[in-house]
Amino acid sequence: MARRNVFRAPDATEVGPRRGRVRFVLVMIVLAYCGVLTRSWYLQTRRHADFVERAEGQHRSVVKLRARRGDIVDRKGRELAISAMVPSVSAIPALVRDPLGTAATLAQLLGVDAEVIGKRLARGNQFAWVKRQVTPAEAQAVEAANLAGIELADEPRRFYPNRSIAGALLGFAGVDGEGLEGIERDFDHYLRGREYVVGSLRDARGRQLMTGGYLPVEHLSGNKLELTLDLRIQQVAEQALAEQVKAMDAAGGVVIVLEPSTGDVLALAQTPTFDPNLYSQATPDAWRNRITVDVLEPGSTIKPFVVAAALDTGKVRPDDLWDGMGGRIRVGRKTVSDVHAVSVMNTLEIIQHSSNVGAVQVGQRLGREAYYGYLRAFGFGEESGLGLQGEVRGTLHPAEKWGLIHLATISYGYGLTVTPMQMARGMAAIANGGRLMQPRLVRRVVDAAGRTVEEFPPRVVRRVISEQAARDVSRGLELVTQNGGTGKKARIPGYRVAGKTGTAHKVGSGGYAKDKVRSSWVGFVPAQDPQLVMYVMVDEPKKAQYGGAVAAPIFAAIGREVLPYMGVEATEPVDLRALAAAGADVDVDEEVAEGIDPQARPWWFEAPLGNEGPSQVVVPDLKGKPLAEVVAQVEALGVELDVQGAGLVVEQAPKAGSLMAPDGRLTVALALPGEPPSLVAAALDLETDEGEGTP
Amino acid sequence: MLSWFSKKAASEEASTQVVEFRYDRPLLVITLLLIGFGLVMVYSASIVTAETQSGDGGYFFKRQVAYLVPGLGAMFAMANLHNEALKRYAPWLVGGAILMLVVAMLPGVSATAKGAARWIQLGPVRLQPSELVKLSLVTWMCAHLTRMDIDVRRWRDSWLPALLVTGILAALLMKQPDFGSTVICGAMMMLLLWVAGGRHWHTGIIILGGIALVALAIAIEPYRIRRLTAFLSPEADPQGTAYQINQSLNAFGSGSWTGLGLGESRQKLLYLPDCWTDFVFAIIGEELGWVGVFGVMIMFLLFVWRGLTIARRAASPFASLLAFGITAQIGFQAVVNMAVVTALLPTKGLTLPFVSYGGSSLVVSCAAVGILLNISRGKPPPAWLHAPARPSRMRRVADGVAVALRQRV
Repeated sequence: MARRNVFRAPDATEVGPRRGRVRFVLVMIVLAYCGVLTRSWYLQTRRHADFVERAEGQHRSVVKLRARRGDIVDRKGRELAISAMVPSVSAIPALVRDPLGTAATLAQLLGVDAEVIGKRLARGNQFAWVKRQVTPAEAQAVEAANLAGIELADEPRRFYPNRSIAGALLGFAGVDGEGLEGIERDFDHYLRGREYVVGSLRDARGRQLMTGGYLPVEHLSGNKLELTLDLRIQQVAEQALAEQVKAMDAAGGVVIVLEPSTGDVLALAQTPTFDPNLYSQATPDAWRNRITVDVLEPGSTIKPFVVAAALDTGKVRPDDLWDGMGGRIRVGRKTVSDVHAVSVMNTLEIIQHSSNVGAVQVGQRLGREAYYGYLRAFGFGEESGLGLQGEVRGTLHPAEKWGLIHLATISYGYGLTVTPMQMARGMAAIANGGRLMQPRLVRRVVDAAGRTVEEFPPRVVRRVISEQAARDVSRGLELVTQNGGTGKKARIPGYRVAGKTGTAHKVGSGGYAKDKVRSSWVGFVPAQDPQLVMYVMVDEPKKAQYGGAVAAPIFAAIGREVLPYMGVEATEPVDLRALAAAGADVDVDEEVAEGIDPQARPWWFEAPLGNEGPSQVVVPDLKGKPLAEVVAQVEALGVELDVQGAGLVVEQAPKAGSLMAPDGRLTVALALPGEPPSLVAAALDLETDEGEGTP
Repeated sequence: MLSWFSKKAASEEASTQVVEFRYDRPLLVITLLLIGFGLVMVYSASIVTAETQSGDGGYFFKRQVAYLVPGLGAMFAMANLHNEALKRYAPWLVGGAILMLVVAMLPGVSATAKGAARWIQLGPVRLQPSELVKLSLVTWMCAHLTRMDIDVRRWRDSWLPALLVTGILAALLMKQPDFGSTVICGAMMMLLLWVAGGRHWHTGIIILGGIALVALAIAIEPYRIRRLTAFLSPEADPQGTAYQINQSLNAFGSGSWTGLGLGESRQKLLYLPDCWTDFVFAIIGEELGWVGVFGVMIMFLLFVWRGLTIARRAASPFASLLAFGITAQIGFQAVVNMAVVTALLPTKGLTLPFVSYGGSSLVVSCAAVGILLNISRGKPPPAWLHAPARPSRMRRVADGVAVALRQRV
């Protein structure tokens, strides 16, 4: 053993751990463990709920998804707005290893701003969009680049297959499927797919780890909106309007086409318009729906209404004679004059010649109270009930505020403002035998399963004038297109046309502007059995000014196309010489006819969103359909078809609503009813989602 | 007052029992169970981080399995190296530890993580000297305190050299900085000295001095104050300093009685940092619940029980004290780690022995168990240790200085 140390204290004989002290330490260790164990018990059982709540608060995440937005179709089922699944590129910046390099690559692939994206990626948070709703070619390029932290996911995107046609009316929906303008906004509550949530687990960097699997969300989809609009009539109207606006070097214009018996809106054209697919490139001014938002002084187009009112009261008869007064009539201190003085005319000829002098006298005989009452009854000064937001009422002061001069000016269309829709609607009431209809834009709302959710039947608002008075005014309106009338250019070969021209000076600085007018035409055809009511207005035409020269030809151009299309038979012999003598354009503009192809494919069949890359087709929903129908549909698409099994379609790849290349291959699995689809699907090597219902 | 050792030695002499030189198998079984359990938990806790960082979910698991080779090797080697050798070469051990700490500071071989230069990088291998420092200090303390030529109750025989050696080590550790290991070293020094027979009032003064030093160390480093504040009021800054402890509690508290099930932890989804190293106990609590926590504690208490039993039966005062020291160190380190995870103590950098991921910790812990196993055999020293070694030149000089000092006092 070790040496004994000479300095060692005599009483220190023990070496090594002291027994009592070791015991003390042992007790301390056991106590410490008991303490931690108690603490564990307290944390894990007594306060369990707190920590679970805190923990779940951070890793339980709920992904909000929105079901597909409903389509908008015209009265014949043609698609005006549809939703298709397209890929979007997003990023989890926290997982991006090289933000600048990644941003540079993305900028090259997607045409985004490298600096903006680089900043977004460098932020290191959990989610950022890179570019939403990219083209299939871009998506492929991004996928091939295989960048860390960059992801692709399908999102529904809104397409407007007819591009700018009815663009201002349809408006547009934003990238999150919310209606922002036009019908998309005003009927959003029908169209919008309902939101649903999918529970998932999220790690500390925000990556979704487990989603609850696919849910059958069909029943949450938005409803389909069936408009009364007719795509073809809309196309004709827009084209005719656009051509005339261009020819007349005008600032713009609107066309309303109504079906008088139902109040159905067949076309609402306006120019300038925009392509809702590219809405961000248009100015908000172009988004405006001029038909319900713009107000204007009607000018001469009000005259049929004052005459109609007067005839209805019985104070005026159609064959009453009126003094032309040499083209000038004094009202108080003001003189009202005619463009062409008429010596004497009957009541209907006031309309034909658009005589201000005659109209003032009719108005004076009618009296302001009665006149005001009739104007209100015709729907002036109230909303038309089209269902679009922001519709204005126009200005129509109550009768007790009218002075003598007001009564006179309102008789020939100044001193009140109206909307184009009010004019069309009022004229439709005359065409409809005196019954004012509520204009109808939406006919039916249908859910995703095809069931009608809501129907909007035609609605008679009120009877405004008697049928006899309506007939009499119609005769006067028909005179307008005959020799001696102001609207001979509204003639349509083979049909009797009734209508009224209007030329209203616009209000400029310090009074009415001489050179700025709104030329309008409001009328219907055929006069004896009206099928179409049209209101045409051209804003600030420069080449000509009178409504008969500027607006009436548009009416004729539209009518020539649309009447045969609607199956309205011509009743009159076509006298080409007479027409030529009347100065009407006999040559039917073939271009208008050519431009309309009801079978036209949506534009992106030919041109996807980008410039290059393969064209895409939308995969139809084939589930539950028999083979014959599938073959017909797929042939129409032009893609190749793979059929497996027999019976009805139970599975298809790609899924319905997605885009596929036209040279792609569509696979369908068929099964007889009662056959377990999983078996079929497995045999056919198709994906089946767990939990999806069996058909 | 009889020492534990001397009482036992006396009774054995009287009964003339045949001494069996066999390992303490319960200790070996407990250790291997803890290591095996640790592997499972490291795999479960690290899989998400490993997947995210390296693409291989088993990255940390595989490395930990690889560390088992040197770990079990060290255990076997220490079990077969007689503990008398440790006593003889204890100063060399401390010298080696100091050398490693110095090397860990040299640029080029030093590896830094989270602001602390705690590692020596040797090719693919990273050594953490602080683990070895703790074991070396314990060994040296035991060797010194059981020297026959000193009186533990005398200040300059016991506290003075102990404070000197511990002070050098502590200074080097604080340079890294490794506050947790420093505190452990100081605490082990005091504990061993007191248990070996140091005077109560000496111990009291040193403890007070130690507390003052700890307070000073906290006061001069702003991040330690923040950690302490975070510990005292974890709700104040849940995303900042208190983030880890809050996430630890979220994990631990989610476990309830039986836990979410093995592998079902949510907090390991990158929420709880270091959830496979220092905070693996939180994942144990989350996945296995109170039952799992209880099981782990029972295993460590059984370990302590076996370790103290070995100490009681040890063949020499040195072996007895060493067995006690190793047992106490592992037992305390485990409970301190658990207390940190359950927010009973402020965050240190301490692992859960055998269970936490970490090569140095595993190898040193295994070596410590090897020492315990060797002590448990109770074999007499081999022949080459029988003859007292001729004191080295250094030792003779040191002894001469010591003698001169004592004579002057």
